[in-house]
Amino acid sequence: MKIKKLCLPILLLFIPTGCLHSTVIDDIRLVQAIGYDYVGDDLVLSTVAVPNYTMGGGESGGGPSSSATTDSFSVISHTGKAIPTKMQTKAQQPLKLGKVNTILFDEDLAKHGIDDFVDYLNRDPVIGRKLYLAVVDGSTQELLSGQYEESQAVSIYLNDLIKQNIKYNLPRMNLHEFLYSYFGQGKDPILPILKKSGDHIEITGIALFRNGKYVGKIPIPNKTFIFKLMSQPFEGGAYEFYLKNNPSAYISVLNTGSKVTYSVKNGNSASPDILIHVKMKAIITEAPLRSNPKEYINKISKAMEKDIEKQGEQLVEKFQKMSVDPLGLGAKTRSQTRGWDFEKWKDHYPNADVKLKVDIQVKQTGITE
Amino acid sequence: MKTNISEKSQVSPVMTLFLIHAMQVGVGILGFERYISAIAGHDAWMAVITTGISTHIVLWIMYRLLEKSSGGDLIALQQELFGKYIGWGLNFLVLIYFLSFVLTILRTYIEVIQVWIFPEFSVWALGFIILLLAHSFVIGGFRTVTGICFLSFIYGAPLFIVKYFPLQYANFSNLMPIMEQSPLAILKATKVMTLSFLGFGLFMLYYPFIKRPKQSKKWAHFGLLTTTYTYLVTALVSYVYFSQGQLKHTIWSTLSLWKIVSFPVFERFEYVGITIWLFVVLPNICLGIWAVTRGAKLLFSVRQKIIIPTVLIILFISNGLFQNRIQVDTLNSLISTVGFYFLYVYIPFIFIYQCVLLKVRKPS
Amino acid sequence: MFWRNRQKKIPTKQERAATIKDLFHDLEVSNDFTTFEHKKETMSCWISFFKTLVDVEYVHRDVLPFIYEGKIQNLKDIKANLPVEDIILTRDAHTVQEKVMQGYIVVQMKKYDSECLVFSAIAIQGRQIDKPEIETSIIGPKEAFVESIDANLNLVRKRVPIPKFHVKEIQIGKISKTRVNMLYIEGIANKENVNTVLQRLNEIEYDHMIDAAVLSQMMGDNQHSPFPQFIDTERPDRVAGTLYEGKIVILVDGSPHALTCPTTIVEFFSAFDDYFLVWHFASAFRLLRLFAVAFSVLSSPMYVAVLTYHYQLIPKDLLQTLISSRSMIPFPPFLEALILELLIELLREAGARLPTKIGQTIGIVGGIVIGTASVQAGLTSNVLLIMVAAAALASFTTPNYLMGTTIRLIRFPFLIAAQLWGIIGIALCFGFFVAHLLKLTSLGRPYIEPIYPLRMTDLKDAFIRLPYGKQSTRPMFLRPQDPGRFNYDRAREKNDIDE
Repeated sequence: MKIKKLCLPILLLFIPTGCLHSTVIDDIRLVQAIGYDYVGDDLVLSTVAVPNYTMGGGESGGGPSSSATTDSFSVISHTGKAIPTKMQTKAQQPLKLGKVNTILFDEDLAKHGIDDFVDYLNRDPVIGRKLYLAVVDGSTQELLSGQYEESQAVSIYLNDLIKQNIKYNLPRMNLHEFLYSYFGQGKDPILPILKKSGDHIEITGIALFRNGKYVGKIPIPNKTFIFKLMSQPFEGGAYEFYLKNNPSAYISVLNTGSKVTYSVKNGNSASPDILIHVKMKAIITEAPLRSNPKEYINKISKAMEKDIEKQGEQLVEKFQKMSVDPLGLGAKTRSQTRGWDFEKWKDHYPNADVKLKVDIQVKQTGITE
Repeated sequence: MKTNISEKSQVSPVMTLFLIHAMQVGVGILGFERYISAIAGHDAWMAVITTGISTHIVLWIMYRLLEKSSGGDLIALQQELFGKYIGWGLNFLVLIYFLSFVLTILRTYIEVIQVWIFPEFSVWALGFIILLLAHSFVIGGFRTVTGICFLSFIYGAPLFIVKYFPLQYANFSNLMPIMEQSPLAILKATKVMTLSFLGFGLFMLYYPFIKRPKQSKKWAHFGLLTTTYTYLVTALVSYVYFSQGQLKHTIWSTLSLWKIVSFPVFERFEYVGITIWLFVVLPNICLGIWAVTRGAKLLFSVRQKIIIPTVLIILFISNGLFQNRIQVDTLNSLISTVGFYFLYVYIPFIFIYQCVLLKVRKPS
Repeated sequence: MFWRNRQKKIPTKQERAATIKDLFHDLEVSNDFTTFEHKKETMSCWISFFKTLVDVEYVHRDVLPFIYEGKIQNLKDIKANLPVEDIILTRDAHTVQEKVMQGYIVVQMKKYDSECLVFSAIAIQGRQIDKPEIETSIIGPKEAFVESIDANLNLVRKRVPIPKFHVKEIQIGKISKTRVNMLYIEGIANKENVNTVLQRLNEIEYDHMIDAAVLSQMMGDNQHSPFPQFIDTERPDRVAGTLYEGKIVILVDGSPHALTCPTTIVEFFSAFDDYFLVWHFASAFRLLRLFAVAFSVLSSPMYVAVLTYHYQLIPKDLLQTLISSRSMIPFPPFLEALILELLIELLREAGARLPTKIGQTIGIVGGIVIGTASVQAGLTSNVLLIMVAAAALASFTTPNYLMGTTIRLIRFPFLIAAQLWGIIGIALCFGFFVAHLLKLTSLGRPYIEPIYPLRMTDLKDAFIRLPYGKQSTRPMFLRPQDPGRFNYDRAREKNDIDE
């Protein structure tokens, strides 16, 4: 009892020292998207997009508003700082990074290298792992401060746009995946490429990185579909092609489940043999009518297999020429080769013999025959 | 030195499982993967299994030691084996070790809170509150301390379930090819791994508080098995979720892993996870303090009620003196090394010593 | 513990009359004390009683005629003649005082004569047995205890018709001498528990005993605990049920509540209704109530913690709702929550103090008018209003009123902790409650059993209620003398299909 009586005043003493800086949600401004434009000489123009939830729909004393406006601030500073200190001077309330969901780099900065930013993102505990990084074709400042048809804040629009596309067309690429490839051996990171066109934002392809430097891109749509097919199992996503390159024989299929396996032989030799085997179940959604459907379906799937194989191999060849490994062939080789050496692999990779084999099983052709 | 513990303060043999498990899972599990994979690469998870096996052996030795001694706990055992004065000195050293063990856990948890949630939270204030909380458990006696060990198992269960989320990003090929590393590397990793498993050394102090100790054997080994399983799953999930290079840059892999967990009502599980982790750390602190005060009671023949505040004040002050990460790391590695030699060298040594002593004494 | 173990002078010394004369002098001061001389040719006697305690009609109809008739010379003759079972002939002023205060009639040959004949003519005035008001149930018995201990005992005895059902009576209260009955079934109830209760009842030293709730506070293991350690119930069926489990029940005269002990914390969240429903639904409702408790205690502290410190936790789709609802609020979340919580507590308190009809009006005025107005005035956010109201609602799902009060009030320390240290504060506060609950006992039995100490067999009727076929044993924590309800193995023998 005596101890208890003693403890209480001591506890009261500690309460002031234990007081913490509060970040009351309406007394801070949540940065949700950041854009970095390279100005030159290691200088970067940072732009933050801060949704302003408090302005809209205040007529009934703080009822939830349906739309939010976005404020954006821009400041030029040296690279490698998430939010330059100068930025705080422009904001009415402290800017907080805890809810960042999209980070954009313009092409020049991406080419210059984003290592400083990656280091920061990996280090700061306040940054989540589900946020998206993207490369912007054009100026990120323009993109973030632009007006769009969507009534939502630009950050949410961007986030939803990338999320939706990742589900169907692009390989998974959030911050965690980026860091995984960036720090890991035998796989190079990739990012989506965004472009502002009028009052819309669109995804135009996949940016290929080598050690934090943007080196090339895969254009949308068919190439990214094939790329996704080769890099991970997924369902959804449409593939379109012309039978025998005949514009009238336009065919579109929907992927209802694909699997990919890699088998590597001679992983340590100067030219490893890699076989990428894709199994895909598909539904034909659009095709010109023919009299004998069974034969016709066989024909389509054969043609499509050939087409994907050809394009896929071309894609890999392109990667090899650029010496980037977005598919993670190195990591796959490591997992199937004892005593794998990363340094040697770097030399061997361009000479690797990569084969793509595709099996397509057409499950149905819709409700008519 | 006979100690009579009334049945009222004893716990059932089943609780040995939770006592052992709760003491082994502390702050080490938050980031052990980095250290073992630095030695054994992607095969490091095997070190978890070998460590698990080694702990079973040490536990078996402990049981043999305690069963053969008349006093029932480490304090009595050392006095019995080494005589009054050397025994007393050794006991004192052991208590200092356990006290620093508690200090490490407390300070590391505070470090985690400071880095991840409240950078401005003062070490003194946080230490004070957590120790105050520990005090309210420890004054309840061994049963209450066992209670928090048991409850921590229940509270910690959700943390285990959320391992499902990172598995959605798993690259199982990270674990291949199996056994690429040499057995020597795995053994070296095992030595590092044991540092996380050290907590069960306290078992030698609370052994007399377990009802029907013969029956508790089974549960104690189950406890070790549970720990091994927990660590193994944690390691495997980390290895499939992180790339090796990424792991090198991650201090607290479990916490980084929680960043990906999100529910419709809340995201960023690490904040909730660290909060729940308080209840995983708490039994370590409580049981540690209890054991130290119990030992001190036997050593100094003072009432435990007087020792508890003393020990808490010592902990509070020494906790506050560690002000940065480097000091905490130094403390961590020092205590781990001492703990390793205590469990894996000293305990087998006194086991052999006891065997010899009993053989020599028998004829006379 | 000022009423226990205190061997000081008894404060009731002057309350005890030394002689009959003193006693009558004292009694005659009261206007409702009647004393008159009854004269006959052969003899005369004095009859005295409290007309407010005695059934006057009964006296005139059934008692006085017997005294008028016959050859009565002395008190012994009266005793022989009267058709009343409870007649005492005594010279002890103490007994006379006690009896006359209970509604007995005193007959003396002379005024202030030391020899008195006392016999019972108690007028029973009290409520009719009514429907339960607090622990109402849709199905199941509809009887509730009343203020008379005999009527209450009758209600219980009807349900436990065995000779092994024992009732021990103790008088508590130095002045009031309130009758307190301890009920248990010999052969089921644990002897140690019985002795503990008996000892604690005997230890109580207080001047009066108004209600069972007072008794439970005096008898509790830890009188500083916010958690009640005895279940109070107004249902005789529940009392009978707990008796069969091996518990001990305490009835206090004048109290329409019975106390059952020992108890565990989970029992406070099980309504007796649960036993009338099929086990799936009973279990579902129990889980619902437990969830309600967690929600009720933690929702507003979590709101405060998250909005004050941990904005990172809020999903991006919820950000807009939360921020825009808070944007006009001039107070920090903590004050906002505190104001609303206090408002709800005020409403509850006002509703409880006012007569039922006005209470309803207050509920409507408070709930709808103040709630909406405060949101529109921009004093509180509507998200929080929903949460606090739902939390208040959730706290009322606790079947036990005392536990419900506890649940409502322990959220305030949580709220303060959340403001000070965010979710870490909530965890720390929770830790202190866990420490307290781990140490708490009810009649020396652990309070949070079957969670800790873990008793798998007792989990059958804790968070969920398994079907009666699985309830073959009585709760372990009671340590019943006869642990089995029925032979489980025999009950399990079942025929194969098509046999």
